[in-house]
Amino acid sequence: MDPESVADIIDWNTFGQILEMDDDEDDREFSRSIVWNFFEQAENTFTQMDAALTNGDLDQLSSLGHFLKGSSAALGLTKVKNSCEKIQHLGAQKDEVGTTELNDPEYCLKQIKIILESVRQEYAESESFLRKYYDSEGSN
Amino acid sequence: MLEDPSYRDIVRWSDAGDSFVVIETNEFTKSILPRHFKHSNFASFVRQLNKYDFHKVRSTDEGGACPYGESAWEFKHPDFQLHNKTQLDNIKRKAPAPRRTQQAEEGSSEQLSKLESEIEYLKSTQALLTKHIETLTTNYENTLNSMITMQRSNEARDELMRSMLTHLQSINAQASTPQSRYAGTPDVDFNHPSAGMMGRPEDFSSMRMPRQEPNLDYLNELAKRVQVVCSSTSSQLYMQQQQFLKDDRPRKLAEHIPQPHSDATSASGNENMADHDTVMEIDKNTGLDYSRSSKSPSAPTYTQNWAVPPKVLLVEDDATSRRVSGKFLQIFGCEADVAIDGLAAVNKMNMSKYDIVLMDIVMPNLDGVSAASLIRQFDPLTPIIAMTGNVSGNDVITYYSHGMNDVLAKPFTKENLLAILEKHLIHLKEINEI
Repeated sequence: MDPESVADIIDWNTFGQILEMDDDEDDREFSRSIVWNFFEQAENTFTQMDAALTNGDLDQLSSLGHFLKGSSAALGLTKVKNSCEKIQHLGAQKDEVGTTELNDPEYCLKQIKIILESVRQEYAESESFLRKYYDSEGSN
Repeated sequence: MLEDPSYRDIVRWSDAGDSFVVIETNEFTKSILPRHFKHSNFASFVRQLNKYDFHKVRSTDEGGACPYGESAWEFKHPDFQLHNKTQLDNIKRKAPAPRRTQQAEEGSSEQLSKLESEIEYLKSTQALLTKHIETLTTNYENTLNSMITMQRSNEARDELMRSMLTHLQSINAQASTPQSRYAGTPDVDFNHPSAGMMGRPEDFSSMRMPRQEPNLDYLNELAKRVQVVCSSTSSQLYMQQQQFLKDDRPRKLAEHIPQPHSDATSASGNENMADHDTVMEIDKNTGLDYSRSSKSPSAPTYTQNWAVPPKVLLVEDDATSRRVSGKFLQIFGCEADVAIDGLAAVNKMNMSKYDIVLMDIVMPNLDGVSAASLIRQFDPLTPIIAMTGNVSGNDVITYYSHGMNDVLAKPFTKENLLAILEKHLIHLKEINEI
């Protein structure tokens, strides 16, 4: 993967300082467990988002968006974080950047559906990158 | 009345005029007593007379022959005389039981003096207390003043430490990269972990330079120590340090500290990396590089420089953020406790004492703002820091108006976190950091 697209997926300043917390560089136990927990958490959240989308529960979508935004931001997964932020705002019936009130539930649900598809894609990229990273670290 | 002739048969002056005689007691009781007394009882009248020191003249003195008749009563008083009204004033009701009266007077005067002495005692005690309180107040003021002075000197010293550390790091950097050796401009080696220090330029720009002046003695002392520390390194380096510390110090501090970014740019410029995008790329790579060289030399910067490990309450609903922040706090030598929402935070604050609270804002059960205002109802002092991505003006005003003290923008770096901790926990910092 070329550096340009890696930089899009992950912010090294943020992720780097988590790696720095590892006591042992060979197994990277601390950061690895955080990342693997995040995978679980993210899968879980996506499932709940699907359900909320089916039920048209915008409040729930906004809250789930906020939740995943927080944890992806903590790991420096910029792309996922940005998309989750959009879902948070749309769920609160605002525009993507959260500045204008929309009051159009149908439109918001439609937009969230589109973003949810792309954020899954972005998450998959991040996941595969992280897994590869830890695989290569482990073999070092 | 006694002179009234119409009563002559009932009551009248005696012949000598030094007493009066009740001739007919029955008639006296019936017709005269009711006019002058509330009662018509002769015995009471006699009792009254006795009280006024009238005495019955014994009618039997002269052989039983009473000059005024069988039932006559003669009463006598030394001051009660016919045609002598001035002496009437002397006829007074006898003070009952004069001895006892005197006793009572003595008793009350005794009591009075006792009370007076008690009042005196209370007065003197009160004066003592007032004096004591005054002393305490003065002591308190003095203590407060010396605390403030101490805090200030600590602060100043702290800043000094930071600048010294930065110097040491830049000197180390010069030693490790000979090509960029000290040449008029202070370099922050971009590839060196000290680049981590750049994460908080606001700290350095907030340094009050004038404060350096009164501390020159201290600085010289530090300079000596630095010389001792570095005496094992090359003499050339030693000379540079000496010059650096002695001659150019004030100017260097001014130049060096507020502009780490421009220095860094010029450093990378020296390495033919003027292209902005490339610089950015390098930045990322460096981040990775120095993260890989863990147990890195940057570690000492973050080791425990607290006099007492600060107790931190981390309030965060997201497990990932919680673990990352918790780990940072651990690295910084803090005792971290976690609460997973606002409600748990309020409970924890109720149960025990923390030095600082790091509070997420959007949380289930109870959000951070509500939790903060609840905590403020029983704990007005513990710093509460809002950790949030929403740092627009209105949000920040909301945080402050609900009793929070500062804002830590999310996602934060560990430098930001450390800066916040040091800012609010300066009283827990170790004095002799070096």
